[in-house]
Amino acid sequence: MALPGRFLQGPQIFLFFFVRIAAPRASYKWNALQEVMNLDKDFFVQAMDAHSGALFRVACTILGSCPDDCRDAMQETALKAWEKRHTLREEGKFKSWIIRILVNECRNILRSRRRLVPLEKLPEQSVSPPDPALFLALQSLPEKFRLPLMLQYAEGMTYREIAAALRLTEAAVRGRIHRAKEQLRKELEA
Amino acid sequence: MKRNLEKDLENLRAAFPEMPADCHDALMRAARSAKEEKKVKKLTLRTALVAALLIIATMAAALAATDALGWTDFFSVYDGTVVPQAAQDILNATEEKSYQIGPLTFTVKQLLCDGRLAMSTTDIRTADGSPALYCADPGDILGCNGENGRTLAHRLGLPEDTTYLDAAKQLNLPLYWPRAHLNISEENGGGEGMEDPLWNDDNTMTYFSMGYLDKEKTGGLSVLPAEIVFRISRIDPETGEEVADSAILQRESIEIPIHGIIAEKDYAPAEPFTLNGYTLTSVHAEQTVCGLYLDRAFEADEEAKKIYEAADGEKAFDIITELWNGTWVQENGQGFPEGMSLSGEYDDKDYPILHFRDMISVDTMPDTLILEMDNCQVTLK
Repeated sequence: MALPGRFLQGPQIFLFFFVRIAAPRASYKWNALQEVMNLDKDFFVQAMDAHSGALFRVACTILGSCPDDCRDAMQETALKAWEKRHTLREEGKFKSWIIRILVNECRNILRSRRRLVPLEKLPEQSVSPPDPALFLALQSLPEKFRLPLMLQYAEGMTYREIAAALRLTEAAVRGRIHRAKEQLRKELEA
Repeated sequence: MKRNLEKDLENLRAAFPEMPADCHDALMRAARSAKEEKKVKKLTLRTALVAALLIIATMAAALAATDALGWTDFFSVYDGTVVPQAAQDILNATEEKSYQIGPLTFTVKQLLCDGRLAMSTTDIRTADGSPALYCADPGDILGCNGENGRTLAHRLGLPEDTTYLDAAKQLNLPLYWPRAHLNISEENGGGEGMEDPLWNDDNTMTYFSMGYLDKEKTGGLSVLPAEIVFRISRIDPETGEEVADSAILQRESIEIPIHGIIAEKDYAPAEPFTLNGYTLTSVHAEQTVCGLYLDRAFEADEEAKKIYEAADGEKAFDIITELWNGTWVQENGQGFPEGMSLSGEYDDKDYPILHFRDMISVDTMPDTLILEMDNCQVTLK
């Protein structure tokens, strides 16, 4: 069946890269007999705390500076992450793993926003960043550009780490960051 | 006031508000309150024995890996991806071939093709054995390739955030920017691909290149005609520019035997499974030496069709994404290792049937597969 105008034409390829990344010293225990990682609860709580700033910024990048939505996404991420902890297989992948879960949660919230309340009617609850002009310029970029850019520059993640978190190829990450910088430059100069 | 993009990027965190305390509190409450439930798997003598053998094999592989890096090492840093034994055997049996190109020697050490994936590894080092630095991009930092990059930085005695340019300056070493790309023409099924290096224990480079092939085009072939495209340039660490006349490009034709489909099976859901109006109708599986390729087909009901057809690009993508988020699980509850392709694809050209294709790493086709989606499970036999 032809679907004119749709952007999904023919096979679309996603490349999923899962790489080892930096993480706090972990009390992971690799149990070769069970072939699952027994994720220690204390470590989980510590790691969530250590990455809370990054999680908040990722949530802001996708959801804007509405603290209620960011809080909901982060809360739900913590619960889902613990529930899905068996999918974290190796020490050192916590950050990209948790960011991937958060990105999905943020998108769920965006979807429910669309279903429940028109965007323009959302209550104006937001917190101000130190550089509001930079925030606005960043938010004016499409999410697919601003999120990789933010992960590289605000979180110091490498192309490989970003590719792992966003399920993209490294080439796609490089390309998106390049486009994001071009657009951000235009926005800041406008 | 004119803004400076580079400075803005350096201070990008200034674009974000400080996290409100209640946000942090809510996150930590949720993290602490998440239910502790331990899944304990029964341990039998057989599994203990198998596990012990696996540990010994892994240690042996790790020791061997200090000599030469291969795809097993490459995938070891990925999310549970393993190289099936049959693929390892073929990779390790590859007849090595060396090419001296300018100041460097490229040794193609591993080749493998199953009609859908073609892979190569190439060892890169100076022809005269003199020390040098090899980079994937001169502006990259040493630590940018995860653990392998950090170990390189440690060996060189430099901080992880040192760029290759700075490292070459500080260590007074020649800096090479090499590439060994496995190139497959479109007519022979070539398409997208990926490539990435790792650094060996002696700071030389192993270059990994993988091409994704069109199985319709490789179906009639027993050998894949391909070429390795070698490129070198030497970079001046002071200027970051290519040293004049240092760039060399050389193409070498190779042939890779194709190890095609070993077995095929159509799995059927043991019970009806529908998500958001899409019913899982079948899963077609094809086993090769590289692993098991799975193609799951979902058929939309009338309501789902209306929603999809009315959806704009982004919303249609959301629908796809929800159906795509599945995990393949074994009967014992453990997830299957991710396939070596590290990739998947969807296809809506037969809509209202949507196809999702991915891969798991197994040596033989399992009798039963379990698909976990959206906190639900469906068993396929």
